[in-house]
Amino acid sequence: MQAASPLQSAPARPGLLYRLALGGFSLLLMYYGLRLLGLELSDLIDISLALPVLVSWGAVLLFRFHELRGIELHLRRKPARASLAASRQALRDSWRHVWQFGLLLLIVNGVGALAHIQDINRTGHFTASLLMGLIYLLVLKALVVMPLDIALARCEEAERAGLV
Amino acid sequence: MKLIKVLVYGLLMLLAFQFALYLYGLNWFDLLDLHAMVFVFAGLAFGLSNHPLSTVIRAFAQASGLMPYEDPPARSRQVISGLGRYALLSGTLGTLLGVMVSLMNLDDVAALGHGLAVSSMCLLYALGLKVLVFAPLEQNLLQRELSEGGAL
Repeated sequence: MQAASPLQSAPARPGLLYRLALGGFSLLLMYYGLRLLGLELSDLIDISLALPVLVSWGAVLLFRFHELRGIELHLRRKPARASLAASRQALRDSWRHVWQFGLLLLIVNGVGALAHIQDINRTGHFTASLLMGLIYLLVLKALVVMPLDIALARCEEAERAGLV
Repeated sequence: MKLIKVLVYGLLMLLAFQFALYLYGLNWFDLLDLHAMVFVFAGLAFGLSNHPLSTVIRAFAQASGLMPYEDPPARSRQVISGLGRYALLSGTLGTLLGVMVSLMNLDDVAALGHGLAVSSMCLLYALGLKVLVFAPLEQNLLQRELSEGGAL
């Protein structure tokens, strides 16, 4: 088998227009799915869970600012204080932190659901809110963490191949 | 020989699945659900947006043996495993939304059943895609990667 030249081995990045078109299409499709289920976007807003998740995310951003700022710089192929590996690790750590904090909140919510077990509607509301928290975490992972991780892996591969 | 093995394995799985459906009093058309398809397809489309289309097509062609290995197998495996994870994520999202709809309509049995059905179908589609499509392709690429590593 013919060996690949360094140029051939450069991982390709998706174009901005392509990303926007496909990302927008998938989000629209998801919205259509929600409407089919009889849900509105306003049904998915639960500030009691969204706010703590966002605050914990913000705390991680503050504590590991340089590594997380490094993500942006590495993606733009600019010099950064933190190494690429450190930035990728920081991304994973921050996700783990938010996930664990989110789970803690969900447990508290579950306790709330069980505390009102005699009122079935209230328990249903609490449990729906608990699921909403899980949905927020999954959406955060799908829309932010995973795309960044994939992009950083691409940068790492390019760095290994000596293309940066 | 490998193809025959795959065919026999597939046939056995199909028969087992058909038997399970028969036991539950279901048929194949009961497994078609537009809501669940929309959720899983939306997740996959978002996963696709992380890679150029040409890279994805090459990864699938390489993994299924339709094309010689132009890209390193590790890169193709990363693409396929990423798509598999997106399928699982979107399936889980659909499952949670379905259960949520059920919990919001505890008084209405029809809506409750519909929500639970959607949630189960989302999980079924996501797991089906992962187990029947992405995992075997990933396995092919991993074997190729290991054999290349061994050759070096």
